[in-house]
Amino acid sequence: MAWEKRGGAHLYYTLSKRREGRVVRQYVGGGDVGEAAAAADQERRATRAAEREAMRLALRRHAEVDRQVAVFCEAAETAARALLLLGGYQRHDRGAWRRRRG
Amino acid sequence: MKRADAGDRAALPAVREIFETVPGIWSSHGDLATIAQDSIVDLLAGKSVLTREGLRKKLAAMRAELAGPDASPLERLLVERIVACWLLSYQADLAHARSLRRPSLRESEHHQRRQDRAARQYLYGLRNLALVRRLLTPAVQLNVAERQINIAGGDVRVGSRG
Repeated sequence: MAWEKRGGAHLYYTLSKRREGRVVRQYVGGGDVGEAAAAADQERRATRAAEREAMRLALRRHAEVDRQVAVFCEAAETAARALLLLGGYQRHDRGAWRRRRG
Repeated sequence: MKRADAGDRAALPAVREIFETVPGIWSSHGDLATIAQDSIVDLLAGKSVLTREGLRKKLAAMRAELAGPDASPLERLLVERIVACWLLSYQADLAHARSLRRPSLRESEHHQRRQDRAARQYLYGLRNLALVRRLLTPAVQLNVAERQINIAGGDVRVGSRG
């Protein structure tokens, strides 16, 4: 994806593409054709960058809501365990809750 | 809590004191629920007032159905947990479905992990509420003369009325 100088002063636009594991440079052209290809390329890159940024923001928001739910679930679990213990129940090594003897 | 959990009965008075004397302990748990649920609603609704309102009504109906008329503070808290987990599961499913428009292995794996985790939390929340109701809620209460008899979780307890 670059302008190359060929045959003296002329600039030609080229695209680099990956084919069968190798990078292949494809000649597009100069003048208006080259300009149009460069503009389309720029737009594609900008779109991909915007998508990556949107994905990054989404991941960050997902991580935040996941954390908030985890914190709340932990608090609710602690409260339930406390009241089960106060209600006379206990569990051995994360087994079933059973009535305490005595 | 850890000591009580491990079977140390000497730790129970401290646990009891927390729940009886710390002001607003239930409301602080409720605040955590509100923060979590509001965040997910924001994520789902975005700028749409209609979606936001629809979700709020859905959650209110879910709370009423799960809690029933005489839920204890603990049951109401566990209902909020189920509601939060259901919301998260719904959001995770929707996010994954939307991401399929631009398939990417890394993104798909991220969404699947979230979906699995949210579904597990939701099911665990339902199981926990059922357990608490089975063990702690009196199934039958008989009032005989001056005595009140509660039967819960297969045990019978006799106490004075009033």
